[in-house]
Amino acid sequence: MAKKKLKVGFFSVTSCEGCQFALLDLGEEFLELADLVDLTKMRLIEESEMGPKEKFDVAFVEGSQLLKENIKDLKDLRKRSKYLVAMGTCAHTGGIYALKKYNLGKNKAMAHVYPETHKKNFNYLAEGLSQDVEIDYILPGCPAVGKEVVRFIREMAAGKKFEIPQRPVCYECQLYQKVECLLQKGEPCLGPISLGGCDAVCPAAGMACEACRGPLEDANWPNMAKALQKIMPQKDVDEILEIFHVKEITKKKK
Amino acid sequence: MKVKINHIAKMEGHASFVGDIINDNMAEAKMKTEEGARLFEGLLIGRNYWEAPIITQRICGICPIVHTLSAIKAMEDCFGVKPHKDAIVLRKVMEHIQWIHSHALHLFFLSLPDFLEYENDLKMVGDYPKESQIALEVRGWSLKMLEIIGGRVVHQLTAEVGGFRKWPDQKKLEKLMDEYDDIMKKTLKFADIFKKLKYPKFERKTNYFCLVDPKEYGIYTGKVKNDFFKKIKEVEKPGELVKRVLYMDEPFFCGALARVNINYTKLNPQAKKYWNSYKIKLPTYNLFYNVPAQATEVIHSMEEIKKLLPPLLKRGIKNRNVSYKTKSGKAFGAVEAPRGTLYDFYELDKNGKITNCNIITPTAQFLANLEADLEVYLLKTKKLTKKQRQQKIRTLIRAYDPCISCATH
Repeated sequence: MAKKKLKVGFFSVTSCEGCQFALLDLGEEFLELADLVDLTKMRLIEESEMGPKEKFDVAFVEGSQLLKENIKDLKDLRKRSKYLVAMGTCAHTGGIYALKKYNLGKNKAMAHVYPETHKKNFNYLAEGLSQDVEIDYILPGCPAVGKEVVRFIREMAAGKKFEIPQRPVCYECQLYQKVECLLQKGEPCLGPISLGGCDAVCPAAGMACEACRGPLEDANWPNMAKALQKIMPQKDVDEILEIFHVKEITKKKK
Repeated sequence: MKVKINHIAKMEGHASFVGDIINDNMAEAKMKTEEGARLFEGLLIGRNYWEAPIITQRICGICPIVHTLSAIKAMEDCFGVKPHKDAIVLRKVMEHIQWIHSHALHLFFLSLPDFLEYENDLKMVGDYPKESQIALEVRGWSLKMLEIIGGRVVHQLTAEVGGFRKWPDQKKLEKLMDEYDDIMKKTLKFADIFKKLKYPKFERKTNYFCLVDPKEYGIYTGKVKNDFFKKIKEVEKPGELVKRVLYMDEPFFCGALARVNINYTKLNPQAKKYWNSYKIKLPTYNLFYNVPAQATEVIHSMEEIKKLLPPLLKRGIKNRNVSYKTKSGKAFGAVEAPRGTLYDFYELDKNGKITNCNIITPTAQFLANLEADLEVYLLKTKKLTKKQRQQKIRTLIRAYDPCISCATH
């Protein structure tokens, strides 16, 4: 008898939906997943209503829980799902939207955008889904890497254990991209401390890595700091570490 | 009679519809956005000018290119940077690719299932393998080009103030352009799919706005007319995170149908021929025709790429970056996004730090127009069953191709 297919769902709380598009943009490689797993929920391509007892083996969530309803939905989804996967930087660390924590701060930022109605708006600072629910896996990146999501699904369907190798962005940069090292050229590239798996697309495109996939478990921060000190003052380095909310993780590491 | 549709699917971002048919002549309709406070315009204050294009593209995963380019244009405007003409060519190509892949996705995967009465795209794809193959191929080709020019499809990496961090690989572009004729043929076949659909007869007069360039069908250049900025207002409502935009207190539309209405004469020949085949008299106020208008633009953009790229490839792609100094002042940028005109306003200090920011997105501009249309359209659905009525409403909403993520940035 054929093995029962895994029930998979894709969900987004407040987001740009770029992670889902990174997956959909794979075209046929994405559509082929339908043979392997039961893709029951993905609102970009279907409009079924979720049954009260519907359950998922794997539920992917992109975005940040910035609405009360988002938090409620997340908790509901947690109950329905065997594995809850944080997909993308927003779900992982809070990502770009968590920038509202800095500079003006979240209240003044709200007052700037909504001068008349700001006091009535819900203004939550989400620094990762794990703030409100337990997460089983993280597929990081801004956006998440489409091929990594596919690999995750394939390995789960085969009953294998999924892991992201703890290798820096530099590893893939040197192996596949063979571009001149941006850090050596004097650009603040965070490749050495950042988790690879992205094929180093940023340095390959001339853009310094900003660690959207988060730091390596055993990142060598002192060495990175030394290299960056030669390039720019600490306050500028801090600003770069803010973009994808890596600064908060470095604080915890210290 | 209350009408409610929770969490409308097959649309970028989250929203619900709430309506009420009060009597034979009156109805209420409202789009309730369901995205939280991301506060892009607030979180950008105090940050560096060069971060703006990186950050604003995260407003939207389907149209990041336009957010990045609009912010870049704004910074260049402030610093007085005149990018090299080759950089402009490549940015225009990026914009056209943005239209092709966003429109193709919306046309085939979000809107077409409404007309063919499918709830699940995977089922439609199974039933229409040939058409699906063409849609994927055309879209796939455009995504490959974006990868070569922008370094990545979602959240591009290369374009920056003054030019490009990395200029695209000449050979890769040449190789991809070898497939152009085949893809163009498939584009026409793809567009034909939408000729066979039955569009509801429905009109409500409105105003249209888009960038107008005397020389071409405005996409990266051009100006918006009729004292637009003096006469618009962003409207805040308590508890709502979208600021609807009104022109002289009235709803208006921007997007593909606005552009075809205003810039029709500047469409490329095959696009014009395709639009003409519908025999729709201009101006048209039937927003269901936003679907054929988008299909027309897919053809137009393909033709435009053929005009833009080969001459550049003949000249040869070289690093043409322009150097610049940061300056304090006001910054303004605008481009035609797939869903309409996107406006970026910033103020910068002398170090290039952002001191003020306002971004006006297409969906925020046309949301009130959609609601006004829905109020009239609801009355026409009185005799239908609940399910039929909901489906009609969804079809009109999706024909608009709203992006709720953009609207609630």
